[in-house]
Amino acid sequence: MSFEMTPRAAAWFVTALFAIGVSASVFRIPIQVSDSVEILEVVDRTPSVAAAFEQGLHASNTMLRPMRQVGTRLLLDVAHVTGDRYNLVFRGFHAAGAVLLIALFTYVTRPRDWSGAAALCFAMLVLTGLHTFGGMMREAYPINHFLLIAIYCLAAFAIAETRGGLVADIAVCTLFVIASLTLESGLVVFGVAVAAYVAGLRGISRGALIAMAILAVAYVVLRVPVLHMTGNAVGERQTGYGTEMLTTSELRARFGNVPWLLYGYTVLCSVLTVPFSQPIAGQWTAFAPWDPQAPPLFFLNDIGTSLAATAVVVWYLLRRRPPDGRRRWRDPAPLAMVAVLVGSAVLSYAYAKSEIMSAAGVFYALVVYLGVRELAEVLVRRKPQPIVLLLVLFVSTAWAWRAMGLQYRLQRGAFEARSEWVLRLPPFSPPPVPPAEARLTPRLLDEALHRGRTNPFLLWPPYARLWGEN
Amino acid sequence: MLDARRFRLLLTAALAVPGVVVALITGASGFSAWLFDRPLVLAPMPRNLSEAAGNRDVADVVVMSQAADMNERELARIPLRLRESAMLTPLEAAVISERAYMIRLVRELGAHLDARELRTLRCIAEARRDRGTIAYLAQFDASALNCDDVRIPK
Repeated sequence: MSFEMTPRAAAWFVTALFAIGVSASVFRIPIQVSDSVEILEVVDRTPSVAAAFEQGLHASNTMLRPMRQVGTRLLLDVAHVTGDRYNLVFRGFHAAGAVLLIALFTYVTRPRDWSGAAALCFAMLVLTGLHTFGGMMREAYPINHFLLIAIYCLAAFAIAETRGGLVADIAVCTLFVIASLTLESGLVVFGVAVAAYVAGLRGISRGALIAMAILAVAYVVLRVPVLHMTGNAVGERQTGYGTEMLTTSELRARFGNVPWLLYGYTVLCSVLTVPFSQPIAGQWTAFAPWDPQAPPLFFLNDIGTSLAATAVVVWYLLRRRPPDGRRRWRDPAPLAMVAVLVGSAVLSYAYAKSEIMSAAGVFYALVVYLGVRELAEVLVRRKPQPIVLLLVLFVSTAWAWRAMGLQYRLQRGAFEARSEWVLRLPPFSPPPVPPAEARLTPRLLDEALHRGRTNPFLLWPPYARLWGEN
Repeated sequence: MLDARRFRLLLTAALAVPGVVVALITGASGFSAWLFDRPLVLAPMPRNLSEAAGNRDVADVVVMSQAADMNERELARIPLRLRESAMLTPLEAAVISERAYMIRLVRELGAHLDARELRTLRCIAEARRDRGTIAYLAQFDASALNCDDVRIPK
């Protein structure tokens, strides 16, 4: 009896390994103090999920994210049932989300032959090596909403690729409601659905698109006339400008009278950061003054690999599809990528943040997969050139280095989140919540100190510097 | 000779092998992390209190302090600051970490700071020219310093 692995089985085997590697490192990161302890303590005091939702509606004047409170409340209930094992439940949920995203990615790509399986291996490196993916995996408040939005967007795209029907329509409308009430950038789920429809997919019906449009209007009504919420203004959060990272007061001083200038710059930078890996959060870090003792060599790899992948994407988008001669950019995945990229960038107009662009990064990797698969098919039909093999191996290896950097960043994230449990508590800092209200904090502290041990500073230092940290 | 069939095979390999290698390394490391809470790559851990203090590991210092002697001299690797491992007390390692909060933490967890130890710490801080730790230690003694017979870890 002989065993022969099919391309599809090989693709899922590689996917499983990536999912295990990423999820394990994500799971080791303790629940962080900043932006997590306060909401955990507040939500734990709410009497029900409905009360948590209500609390979420009024938690901020600029952010409408009640599903954050709902998710936190549901996970807290599970944690209480399992003996107050908060990290097991919250970090387990985050790790499961990482597995789901990676599995969905392979499901959507559907490699059928060895070229497809090889292209998937490359695309996995792009997916996990992009800086937007690292940000999406590293932090959670206490649930990682950027990861959820990326999952919702990919799930909506997968639904659009089905034969459709009532269940598909209800599912996508439900996804849209949950996504838009999880994070403002959840609105891009609608963009994915529209892009897929325009490109010819009919898994999401016209009726469902109309329903989603009505839900989007209801969202605006809820935000503005009902809850009297406003958008983010200049200086509410720090963001990059040129080679600098400006503080909130510097932003107000420089752009208080010309906010549109900052907004335009931030939207443009958010669009550029996915295909070029620069700027980072609006800051052109690669062009800031370098320390001659420690030149940031990682910029060369990050920008070089992104330029190579983006060149393949541009080449692919300009090609014509064999059956009808239509340009590839009008295909579902490229149009969905543009929708998520532009939609996410517009929604982050007031401040740039890599995590906001993480769903766009996922769709970018999807189009890289399509481009690389097609390029491989074109290359094998031409005269064999050894230099082509070396070039492909070089670019692929450079992306592999970036993908390994994700593991480094996640371990470093675990180190920093664990350290926060000493440095962001008394006597080093004021407590995140008043001691009288800190019902969960002692248990969270104990869990954080006794899990996820790792110390990136014990690595050979220049090694880490090649991944952009010191 | 590179024929079309071999070229297709090599092209597929060039595209896939780096991804497969990363998948195997991180997958195996992930298995180990899930099963034993011990990743195989990129996750070194301090072996003792001095090593934790020297590498800014406040969490491990707190955990280890519950069972370790806060004044014991131990062999510590501090690759960010020292070229080779050195026998250090947690306080000396804390000064080498160039983090004043680490000195404060180690002291609060029970390390003794007598005049002789303070002089050693001040000499290490001066040799490293680290303003933060120099200023922190000056709170205890700002007098003139003679470091002739103090061994500075390099």
